[in-house]
Amino acid sequence: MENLVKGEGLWKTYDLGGVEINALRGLDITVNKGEFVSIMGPSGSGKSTLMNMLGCLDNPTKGDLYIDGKKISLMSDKELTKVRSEEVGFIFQTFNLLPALTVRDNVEFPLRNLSGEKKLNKSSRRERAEECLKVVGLEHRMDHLPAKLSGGERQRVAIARALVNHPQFILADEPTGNLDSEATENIMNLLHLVNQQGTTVIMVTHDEETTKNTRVMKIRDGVLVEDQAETLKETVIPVPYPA
Amino acid sequence: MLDIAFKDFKAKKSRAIMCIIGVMACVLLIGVVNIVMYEMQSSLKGDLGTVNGKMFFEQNGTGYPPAGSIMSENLGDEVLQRSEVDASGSTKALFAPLQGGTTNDGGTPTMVVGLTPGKEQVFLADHPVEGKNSLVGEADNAVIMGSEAAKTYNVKVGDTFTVNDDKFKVVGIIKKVGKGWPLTIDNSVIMALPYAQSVTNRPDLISTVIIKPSADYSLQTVENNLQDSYGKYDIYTEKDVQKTIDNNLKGVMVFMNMVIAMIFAVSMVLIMNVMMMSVKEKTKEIGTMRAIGTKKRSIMALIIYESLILSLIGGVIGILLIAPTYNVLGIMMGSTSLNFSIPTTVVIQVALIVLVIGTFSGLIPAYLANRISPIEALRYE
Ligand SMILES: Nc1ncnc2c1ncn2[C@@H]1O[C@H](COP(=O)(O)OP(=O)(O)OP(=O)(O)O)[C@@H](O)[C@H]1O
Ligand SMILES: [Mg+2]
Repeated sequence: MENLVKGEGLWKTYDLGGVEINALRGLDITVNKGEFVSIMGPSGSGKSTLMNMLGCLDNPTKGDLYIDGKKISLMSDKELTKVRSEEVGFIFQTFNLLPALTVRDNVEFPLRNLSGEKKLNKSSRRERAEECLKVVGLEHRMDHLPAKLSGGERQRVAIARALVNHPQFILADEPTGNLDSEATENIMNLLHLVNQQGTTVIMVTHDEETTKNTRVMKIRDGVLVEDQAETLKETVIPVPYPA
Repeated sequence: MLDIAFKDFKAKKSRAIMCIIGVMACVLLIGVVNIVMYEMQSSLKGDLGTVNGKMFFEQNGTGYPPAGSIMSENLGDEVLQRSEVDASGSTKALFAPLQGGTTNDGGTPTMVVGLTPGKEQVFLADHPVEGKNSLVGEADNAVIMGSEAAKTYNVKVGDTFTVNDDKFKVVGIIKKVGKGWPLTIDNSVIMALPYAQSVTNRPDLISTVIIKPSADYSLQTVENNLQDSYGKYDIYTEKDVQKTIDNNLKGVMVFMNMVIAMIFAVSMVLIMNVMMMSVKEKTKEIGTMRAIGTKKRSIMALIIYESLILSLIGGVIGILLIAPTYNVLGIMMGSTSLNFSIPTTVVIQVALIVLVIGTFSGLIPAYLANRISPIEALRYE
């Protein structure tokens, strides 16, 4: 299988006025194309730090990180921004929609960031945004502001936004952390649907329930302590297509 | 990003409106101060319009009106006889404040202008006059009054008035020449040169010769020739007009420009403040945008657009209100005529100021927005 993410000996050290905090301590990680990875671990173990790195928001203090074969650990802010706009879809625990924009404009927003050959005109951006809103079943709320939506609905908008630029992979840091069980199930079904259609998903979660049918990784104190990859490879579980 | 800036602006209406009102007030003030300066300049220019195409032969440095200059009448006659001088379009003239006279509302003294009868038009330059526009054939003490002077002494054509035992008979009143500020001509009392010499106690003396070059000579040649012949004397021409304006208005201009600079700074700080607050509030949003791939440049553009929108809306409303405000001020200060056209130069100046305010007051907030790290912003609750 082809590597989408390959991190070797990743360190992240925060210097808090003389006190050094090692959020990651030589973590190794590989994620293959098309996988659905769940990352678990106690609070403060470095999950978000790792996600930020995978999302090209941050460079490792030490170690090499490759995304889709590109070495990102040495990239400038400008280059990282480009990778983020083209290859990554973000989903946040607190949804992070832009409150002044309608649902449609929110979903369309990442397409404005594309430049060069990938640049789209206004009408095709709109079309793409509406397609994605159909996927998450919110085409009837397109003209509403996020404030009018429930938490579960907002997260569905966020998923549509994450999908709109056809990213290589989606990073979701506790996407169901603020949702009730019904909304959680709905979101998980959507993420699996997206994964079925070929997008790699990497998700941080505290909820055991949400890790079903995913490759679970466990982090403690900045290193990977458990990885289901081997077990998954042996018993190929047929992933049910969600309703 | 411009459309997004508009949407952000609409989402925070009340704050935007407060800011717009502030900018509007600032623009209004800058505009009104600018018009006042403009009017002062243009009325001085109007006053100095008398100089156009002519030159004033003077002593003791150049100036207009040449009330500070003094020379013998004989010298005047000599100059008038030179071939460079078109004697029919030129005249000896005595300029002197009317001593013991009342000053007008603005504190400007009435100016005695003594001219050779028949040469009134050299000074009057065909401005319309009510009554007689020439002193030829009139009594020795006949005068043609400027509109302001007539108001000061409260006289009509045909009236007689007395200042310091000197009697004056009004034969004509010049229609008001200056639009805003009264000009020298509006404050003048034109009379025959001999009577002017006696009233002002300057026997055989004049202030200046107002010279029209004869057809064969250019203004420049006449100036050069006269200067060569009369080294001790000065020749005041159109070229000196701007200098006179600058000298007269230097103090006022410095003050007015300081006022403008201060108002300018206030409106900058105002918008900057609003934009800083807005950037602070939007830390999480900006972080989110950066995370999903928005370029730093676009974030900067967004902030600058927002501050431009604020300043442009405030600016346009302010510019539209300049003329009405100026008129209201004018009416409060006793003006009777309305004037709703603002000079284009003032509009352009104010518009430029608005653009500069909008752009520059967005720069620091934009820089702050630029420094927001998406990671920090996403941790920020
Ligand atoms: N910007 C920072 N400056 C200093 N320390 C930081 C910073 N970001 C993270 N840390 C520290 O790094 C460690 C790992 O943080 P991280 O946010 O990755 O944990 P996490 O696994 O996501 O925890 P949680 O489950 O609570 O979200 C923590 O000890 C945290 O305090
Ligand atoms: Mg976390």
